[in-house]
Amino acid sequence: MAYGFKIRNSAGNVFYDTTVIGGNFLGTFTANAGSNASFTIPHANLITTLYTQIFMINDLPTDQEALAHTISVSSGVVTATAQGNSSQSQTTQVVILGK
Amino acid sequence: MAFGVQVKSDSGDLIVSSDVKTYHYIGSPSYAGVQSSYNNYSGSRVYRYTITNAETPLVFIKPADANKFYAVLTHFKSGNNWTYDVIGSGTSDQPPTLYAFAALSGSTSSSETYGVMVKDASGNRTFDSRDKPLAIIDIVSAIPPNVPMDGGATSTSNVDPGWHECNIASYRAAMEHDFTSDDTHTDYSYSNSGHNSNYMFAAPSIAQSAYRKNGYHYHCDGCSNWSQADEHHYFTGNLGVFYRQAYKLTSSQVQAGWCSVKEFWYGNASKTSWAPWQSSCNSSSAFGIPFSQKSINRVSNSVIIADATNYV
Repeated sequence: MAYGFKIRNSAGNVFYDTTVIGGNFLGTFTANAGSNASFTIPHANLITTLYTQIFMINDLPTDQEALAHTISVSSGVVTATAQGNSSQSQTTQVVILGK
Repeated sequence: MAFGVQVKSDSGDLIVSSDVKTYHYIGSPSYAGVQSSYNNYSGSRVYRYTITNAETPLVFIKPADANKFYAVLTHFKSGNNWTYDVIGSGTSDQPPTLYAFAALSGSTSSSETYGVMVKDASGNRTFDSRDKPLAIIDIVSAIPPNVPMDGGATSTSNVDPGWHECNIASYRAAMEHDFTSDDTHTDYSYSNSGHNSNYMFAAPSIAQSAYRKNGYHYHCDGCSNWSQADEHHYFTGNLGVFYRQAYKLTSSQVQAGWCSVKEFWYGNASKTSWAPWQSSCNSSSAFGIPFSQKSINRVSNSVIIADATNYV
């Protein structure tokens, strides 16, 4: 590495440098069962690629048809759209990362 | 950006910013035991963990067994207390080690007086090398196969398990299917040049799947013999298995697959005749499968891969 950025720990080992993917946390939001929700990503212009993780929370459905929200991303806005009827739709948490 | 700091990677992607918060290591969630077990087919365990933090954690799984599938099944929040349920395949207890990361809050507990710290316009830390920022190795978008079973999709057409008197277990044996799921997965390669046994991944389980088989038998003793009383023999049965999405991290691949979580079984055998007596023979409890012959919530999810060595 002739240029760039390295951070070493107290043992002198490099643990963060310009070869890694940064763990950039862009935000998280919860979409309640049966409702749509959206989230505007702050500083989306700094990010080249967005990633989302979708979790069903507060629930361990093994005895019902449990539907998470579907996720779409457009112009820096993440939208969660509820699926199914009131007994099927589950509360969904969306975590947004980027690099 | 009129002021502040931006550091970009060799690929031109953001790795340090005074505008965007970076995930930092907040600790290893405490293992609280097995919540549920399922020991048939490929089997599964649901392991519970807890951690306290002001910001929403991102939880990584370092597998206890590289041959098992794992995923974050669900989580619960009460104040700053977080409870995570992690599913793992197999018929023995092999709880993985979890590593949790979150955006920085408050001040560091580190006594180190050197390193790199970046703050935003409000004076809140976005990056602090003393608090072990998350260095991601790769991110893979993964989706499991539509059908979880190694034996392929079942048909809802009735199979005839034969007549086994009132022995419900024998009917079930005759209706079996290869409901194991160990060998059914979609494979994705990742950047693995420095792979070691401390590699870990963050991935949720939201996809669910359920498949069933239906059984029916009928025969009559005596119906074609005028000298013998007619005796009708019936059996009706259903056998189904419910699955949740999970992932295996090998030295070169993310494998998106499934864990069998629960089974559903119903069997009813009966005999009747023209005579006044009637026997219901034997019956199990109701079937109860929530849905079948499909997978739901089956969408691509990000699987984030990192090296736990830096955070042990």
